[in-house]
Amino acid sequence: MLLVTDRALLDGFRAGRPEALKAVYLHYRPRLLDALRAGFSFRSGEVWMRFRGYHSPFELEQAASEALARALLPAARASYDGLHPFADYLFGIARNLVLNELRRNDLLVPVGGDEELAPAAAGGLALAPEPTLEEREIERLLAAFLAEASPVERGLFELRFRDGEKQDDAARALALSRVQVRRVEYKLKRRLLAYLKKHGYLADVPRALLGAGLRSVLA
Amino acid sequence: MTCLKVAPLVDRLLVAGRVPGWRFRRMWRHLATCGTCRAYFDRAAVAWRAMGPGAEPPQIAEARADEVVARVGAPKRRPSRWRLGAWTVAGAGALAALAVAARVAWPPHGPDRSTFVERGTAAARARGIRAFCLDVARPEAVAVRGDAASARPDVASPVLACRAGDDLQLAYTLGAGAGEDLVVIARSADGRRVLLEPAPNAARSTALRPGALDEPLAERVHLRALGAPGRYTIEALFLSAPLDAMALDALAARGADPGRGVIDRQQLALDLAP
Repeated sequence: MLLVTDRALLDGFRAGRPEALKAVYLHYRPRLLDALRAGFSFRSGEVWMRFRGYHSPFELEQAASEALARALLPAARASYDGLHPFADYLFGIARNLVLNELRRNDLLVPVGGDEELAPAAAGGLALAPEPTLEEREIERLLAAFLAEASPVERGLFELRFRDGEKQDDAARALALSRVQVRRVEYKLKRRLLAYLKKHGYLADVPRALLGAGLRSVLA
Repeated sequence: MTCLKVAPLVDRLLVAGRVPGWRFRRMWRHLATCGTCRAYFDRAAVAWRAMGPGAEPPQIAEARADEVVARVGAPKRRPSRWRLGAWTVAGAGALAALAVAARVAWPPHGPDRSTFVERGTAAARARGIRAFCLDVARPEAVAVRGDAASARPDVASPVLACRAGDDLQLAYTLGAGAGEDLVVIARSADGRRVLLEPAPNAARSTALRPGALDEPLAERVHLRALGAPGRYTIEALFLSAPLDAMALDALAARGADPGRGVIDRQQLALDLAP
């Protein structure tokens, strides 16, 4: 509801002021990412189809970015009435963008008739996606990693990452200084990275794959 | 940017939340064309997503927002015509005065620097294209099925094996120096032109950035659009000056050799399987 409630921002948005466009981008991006990850159903002729959502975070980021770029174009900004939720308007643009992509890449899955669809699935961008194997693996590794962490580290993890608290607030809650929080957080992340590599979750890129073709060009 | 540099950058992004802006931009461009590095980034991204909403490196959202805002933001105001004219006259006058002053202060002598080439430094400029076959059939990831770099026609053409459902992504490399333009033409075995990059409705040939290494071209091509399975030849023409749409079409039709604005011609073969 950001643009509906904040008229000054809406004016800046319509005028194309960079700070207003950036604020809109950053505000709506997380919800758009969730929606595009979840996928959506739609009707194509007589058949219900389902877009299963983007599973690659990179592809997801690219798609969200492209949808937001289109929603921020001058013509799209001028078409937005400022009365209805901008999120709906944005999701409409994202949906059309995805459908055009899908037509090119054959990513559509027929899901049968109306009776086979849950009512929520028949409409918009709402279903929560099933966790992938990778997500289950990382959940298991994170739980094991946190089991070995100190109480302060576990508290910091909850506050900073799970709850998204700022460093100042986390420092107050943990009775630490901000510098201490920063240090603990940095070390915690570094240890987590090492832990993920040790358990094969983040394997290094094999050198054999690199630059094979370019060598002949640069020779 | 090479793959070797990407994984450490992703690691740093995960731990510190931020890398230098120019490195981030290069990394992001590289990720768009390299399936191996993208897979690494994706796994790291799944990790920070699982950690919670506060674990995502803030630079990703900010850098993408800045890029989009720069792309779509309000256009810069053009100076009015009379001011443009005044600036042109003033600029031309100042340049003329500078040229006269320089001629008086430093009369020409010694060797002509413009034609002077230090011994052993006149190496051929690095130049080429690289074609990537992207397996886009699986919705969960886009994987690189294979890649091949172009070679000059007097060398045996490298062969890239793709499937009809794949996408073709082209990237170019150009050593430091003056800017050049590029045209890419794909032909079927019977010599028929099946692809022209940039597209026939583009205003001009593709401008290349000197010093670029594996820089992806903007358009990705769905290989089914080329035609039936079989052997295709992808030809890259490096041009000394931009060509407009009509000249592009004529160039593609006549199949140019080096000379007449074409600095270099390279090719690779594409085997398209059903």
